[in-house]
Amino acid sequence: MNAQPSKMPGIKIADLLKAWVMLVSLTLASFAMSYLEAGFLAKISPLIIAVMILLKSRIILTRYLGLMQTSAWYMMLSATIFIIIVICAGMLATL
Amino acid sequence: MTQKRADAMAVEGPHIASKPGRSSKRQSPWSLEKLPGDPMMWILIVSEIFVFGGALWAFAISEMLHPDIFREARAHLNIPIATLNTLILLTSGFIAAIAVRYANSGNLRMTRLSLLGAGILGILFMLLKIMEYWQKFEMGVGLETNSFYTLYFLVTGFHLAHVVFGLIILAILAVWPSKDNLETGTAFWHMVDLIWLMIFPVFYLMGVGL
Repeated sequence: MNAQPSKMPGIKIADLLKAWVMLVSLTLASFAMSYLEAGFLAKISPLIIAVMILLKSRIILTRYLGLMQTSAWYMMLSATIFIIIVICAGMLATL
Repeated sequence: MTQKRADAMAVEGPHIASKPGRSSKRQSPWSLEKLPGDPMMWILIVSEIFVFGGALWAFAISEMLHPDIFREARAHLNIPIATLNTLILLTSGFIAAIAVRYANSGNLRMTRLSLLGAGILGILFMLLKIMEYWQKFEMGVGLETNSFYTLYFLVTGFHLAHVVFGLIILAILAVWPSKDNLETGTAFWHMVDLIWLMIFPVFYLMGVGL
């Protein structure tokens, strides 16, 4: 292993574990959302799921990929993912 | 010296404050140098997100055009297995992130063990995906059945190809676990995670018939 300094911020394993618990919780919550069958909440569930995807992608970008020090890249990547998903959700919510 | 100029010197140092044009020497917020791993990996990550994003838009537009076909096809998707696969991939990414932290602390044995754990979960994801495909083939469904299944097999199959390539990268990292290699290789593995996070809700959780 070489001695060059890492460009990743020193995120502790306990923080990674918290991030993983958050990702699992959001995944299970979006799975539960997909079973809503009627009502206003069911109609907007694709948009709620899209917001959950935004949160999950932000956790991966900051905690796992360590993009906290490069805010421009972090903002660009999370915004791109959110725009892609929210447009899909918007199209599918109209059906 | 005015108060404004003194403040500028305090922030930028006397050299830059005396030559205002030199303030452009500050690093661009878009600099690739600060990103972990090889900069080319980040070019790949951005381009992959756009490629899969385009495919997901094509899927959503196709669903708007053929809602009945999609309603019928979605009824045959195995959502619990897909959710389990999402949890498996997220856990694999978590273990890969731990491998980088172990490498930073110089613990080679735990780095390799973490990479092995991430790889095993990646293989499990692959096996569950193949099982899901097998169920479809047994139902007589194939790539040319309808537009839903064409996009389903193409998009999830292309992602599966990335998983296979990612597993090869994890194996290479276990052999040569330098910090730079680990940051670059695990960035690819996290990209596979991110793309699945986009595919999973659009194919399995949203849309008609759910």
